[in-house]
Amino acid sequence: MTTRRTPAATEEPPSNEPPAGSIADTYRLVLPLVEFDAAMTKGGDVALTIAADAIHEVLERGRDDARLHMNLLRNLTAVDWEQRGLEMVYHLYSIPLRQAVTIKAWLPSQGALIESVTDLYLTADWAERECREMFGIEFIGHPDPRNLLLDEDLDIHPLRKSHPLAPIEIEQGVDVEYFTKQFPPPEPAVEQEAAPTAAAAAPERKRVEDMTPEEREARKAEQAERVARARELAAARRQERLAGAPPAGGPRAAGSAPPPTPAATTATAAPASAAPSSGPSADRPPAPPPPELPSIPDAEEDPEGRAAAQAERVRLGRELAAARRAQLRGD
Amino acid sequence: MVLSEFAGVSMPAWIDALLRVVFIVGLMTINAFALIYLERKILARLQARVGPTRTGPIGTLQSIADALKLVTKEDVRPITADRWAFELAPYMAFVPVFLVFVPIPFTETWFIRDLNLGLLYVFGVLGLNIVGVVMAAWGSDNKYALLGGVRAAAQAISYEIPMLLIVVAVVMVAAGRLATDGDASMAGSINAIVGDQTTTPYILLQPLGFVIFLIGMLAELHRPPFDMPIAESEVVGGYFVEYSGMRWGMFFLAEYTALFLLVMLASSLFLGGWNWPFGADVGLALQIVLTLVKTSVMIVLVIGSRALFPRLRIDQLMSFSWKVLLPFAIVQVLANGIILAYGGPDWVVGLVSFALLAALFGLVYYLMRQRRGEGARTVQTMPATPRVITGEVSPLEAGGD
Amino acid sequence: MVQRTFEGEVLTEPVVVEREFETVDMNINIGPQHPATHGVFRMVLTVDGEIVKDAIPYIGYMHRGGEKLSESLDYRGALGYQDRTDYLAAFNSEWVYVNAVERLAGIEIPERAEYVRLILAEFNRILSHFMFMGAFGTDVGYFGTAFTWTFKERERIQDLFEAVCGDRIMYNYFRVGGLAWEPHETFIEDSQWVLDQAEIGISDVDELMTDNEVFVARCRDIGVLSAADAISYGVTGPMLRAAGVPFDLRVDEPYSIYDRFHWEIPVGERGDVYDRYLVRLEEMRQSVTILRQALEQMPTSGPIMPERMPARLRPEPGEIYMRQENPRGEYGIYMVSDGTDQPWRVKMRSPCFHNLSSLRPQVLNSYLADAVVALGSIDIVLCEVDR
Repeated sequence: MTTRRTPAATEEPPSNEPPAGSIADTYRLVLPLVEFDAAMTKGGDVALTIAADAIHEVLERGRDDARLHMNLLRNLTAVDWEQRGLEMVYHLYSIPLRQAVTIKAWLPSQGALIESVTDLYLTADWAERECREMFGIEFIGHPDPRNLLLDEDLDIHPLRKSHPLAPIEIEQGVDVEYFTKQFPPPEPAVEQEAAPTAAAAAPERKRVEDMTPEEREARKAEQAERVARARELAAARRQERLAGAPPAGGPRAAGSAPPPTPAATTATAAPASAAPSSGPSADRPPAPPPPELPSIPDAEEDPEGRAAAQAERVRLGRELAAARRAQLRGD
Repeated sequence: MVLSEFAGVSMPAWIDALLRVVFIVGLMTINAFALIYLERKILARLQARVGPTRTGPIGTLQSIADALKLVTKEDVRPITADRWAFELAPYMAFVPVFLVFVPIPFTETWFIRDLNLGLLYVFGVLGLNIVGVVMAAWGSDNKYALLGGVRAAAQAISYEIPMLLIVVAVVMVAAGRLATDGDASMAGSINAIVGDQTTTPYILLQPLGFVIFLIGMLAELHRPPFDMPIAESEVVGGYFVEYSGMRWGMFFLAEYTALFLLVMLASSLFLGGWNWPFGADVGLALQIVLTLVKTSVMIVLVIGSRALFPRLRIDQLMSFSWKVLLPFAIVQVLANGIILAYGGPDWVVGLVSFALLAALFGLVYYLMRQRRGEGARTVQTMPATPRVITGEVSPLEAGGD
Repeated sequence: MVQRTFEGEVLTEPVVVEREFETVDMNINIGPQHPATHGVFRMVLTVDGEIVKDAIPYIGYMHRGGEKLSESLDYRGALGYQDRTDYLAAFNSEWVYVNAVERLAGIEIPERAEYVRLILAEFNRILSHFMFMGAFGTDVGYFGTAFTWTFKERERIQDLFEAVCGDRIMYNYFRVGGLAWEPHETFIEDSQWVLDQAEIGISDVDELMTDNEVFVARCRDIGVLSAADAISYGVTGPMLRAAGVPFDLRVDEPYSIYDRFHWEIPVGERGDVYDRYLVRLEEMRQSVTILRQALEQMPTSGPIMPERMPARLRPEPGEIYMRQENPRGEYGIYMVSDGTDQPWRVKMRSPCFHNLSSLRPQVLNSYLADAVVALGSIDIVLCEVDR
């Protein structure tokens, strides 16, 4: 049994050493050959980082030794730390001794392999299947390595950071609706005021099928304009978020009275206008401007072009996400 | 029955028969509507609901609305279904039930034909019902339907045998009584059996028979706690899972008609049918009222069972029929035979049957208790204070045995 | 090869059966749309007649990537996804999440908010168990009677929730640091009244189901899971307690203010379906006990949010595995912060996921009808299984 520490693990600064006599010491007593890198989590648990090839040994002795008695594998998951690799996380609990511990192990991002613990805990069966499909970690000795939650023949790993979200899901976090309300798209409002009747002010919405080709074009153009504007705003907001600047007083905070309860102060009003004025902070570079996403043609008109455009969007999405994460880490 | 009694008009026999058939079919359709409404209302009351209220006054037209919806709904046939079996199955389930109404007496003189072997005819034709169910199950090409159909067939076989034995016991009693004041060869005729109960309904002579008949009736009708063939949570409706529209409606119509039929039969065999209590002669009009009152009470019982019982399992149902009901039915037949052969009086027959009934109840109670075991509530509570860790590990907490 | 009689008894000596004809096992597909699967769950049963020979569960029909989406939102924004995991006990799930964020960011919450959270979560436990009673009654074969009677009770509790937070299922009422707004003025009185009614409702359910002989016959010694197997499968909550293990996170890893109340943990003996039912029934009574004390102790005035809250949550890098006792078992949130305003990793440890994985040994060699009852007794919420 080697006790080599992966180079990745050394990057983690040793901090929050657990107090003497904690479960970390029991583990060191039970398994003297394994090197445990102990830390306290914020929840008050002891987290022990070990070498990945010792995982089966550690879990087995932990389960069978009377001083540890870790009979409940309550959670099994992984965390994708990108360049630093994948971190396997096992949450264990001892029902009779009422002690909890977190066992961690580092794996490389590509070709991650770890020994399965299905022979120790029956629940590891499903948990490892989920972990396998979500992170692409292969569990050696798993009896039934099929996809669990995803489609049976799908070979993607969605919880990896390199797996992109759809643009709409990225923008979801930026509150597009709120911003479009704050900055409505330019409309001929003056003419509407001139015509006071409701019918004239709000012309009846036509169904798309009933529209003439010109109207359809106009509608498309209008939609495209609104989407572009929302995207612009979202990008500006994102830049500001990435820069880590505190939100400046937005139109909402400026326009309304001071919030009466502390709850209201949590309503973040970070407008797009704040982005250029406050700007990115000095120590971090500004986020790259979001690339112009190609529009997707109709499938009937141009199937190849559609596929190419979709692939291009995915590629751009990946680039964008990678750039953003690189900036977040301050690389 | 229809015109000849009231109007005194003589007519050819075939017209008379046709009129009676039309009368029965019409009556039963209306009856099914009424029963569905009644069931929905009673169930709703038992389930803390109000049931249909919107269609017509207090929802009385709900069944008609349902029927209209069923008629106008698309009749879907699965592409892999066995066409002939699938399409004929509703008729095979539907027609026998209606045919059975021939010898059922509504009043002293209201029936289609009084058959000498009426009871034999009733059970012979009613048994055909299951052919339709199995055809539907097979023809649907659906595994749920197949399971449901096989369950229905197994259930029908197991419950018809105790029921028939009980009917034999009833006929034995009737033959014995009719031999003294009538024609014993008419003991298979339902009307003759009813006519014999002017003073003594057979429920007093055969209480065990009544209970077994009721249980068999619930099983025959696929009513809880014997509704495995159509169990929603297991086989999703069973044999009619693939049916829609009017074909499904025909299964439903057959089911409610069979409910009315078996209840009529039970009231004729055990409750004295159209007889007013204590032999009072009240005339045709009150006789039909009486018939309807007796059937209604039993229908409410049957419907109530749907709200109050969970479903048994198929093996529990089978072993209950073969291991409990059947021996008791055989013992009842033997006891009747011995008593009547030695010319025992009626009250001895009643007493023996009552003793058997008590034995049945006692046995079922004992079996249930035994299954449940000592101390039904096996859950204990312990104070929610953190346990002291002594170093000793209790086997349960450790997960050992 | 275990030989079984028609009654399901295991014979000690193998019996050689002369078969006149070969029978073929049938694969029957229960779900994803089936009345007994409580959602979109699918299990492929191999049946020999009525006996289940094999069972392969399939999940994932409700997988919405809640963990990934939570990572793309800021700490407060992902709270809404918690309502959509365990939708029958949304308060409990929200509570775990906000607790995780609070501990990660080191936020103290006012006592009054803690009490309101606890009261709502315990009410939600009663509500969830009522829902279980109804759905389970339908599985066993009550034609809707159990369902309607328990729903009547559930409605009252939902009315209370609606008065507090304006929604009946997706509450989204807890906030990081406290509550979204004050509960309405008559909150305590209303709660007392609802509690009195719920107590009557619990005895109604008890009288309707517990002693019904048919119900007992269907539940006794069905779906037995031994304590060892249950722990190995990661089973928690009422299912584990029914197997005889007195494991309740409210006591074993105390959180919130549960140490201020006197109550008891119900523990079963046999680990069968009937014990699971009884444990849940007793748990509802214990929740009522907790609620009575909590409503008495609750401060009538005071803040519900801390004085100062950061406008934007940027917890120091670190991680937490926050776990609490949900109606279905241990609900955990594993949250990793990288110092930005979005969590780097959010993992939801769902109790149903682990409880459901123990289905296969429970249904093997049982009847088809028992498989449905065993599945119902797990009390699955598919949204929580698939997340």
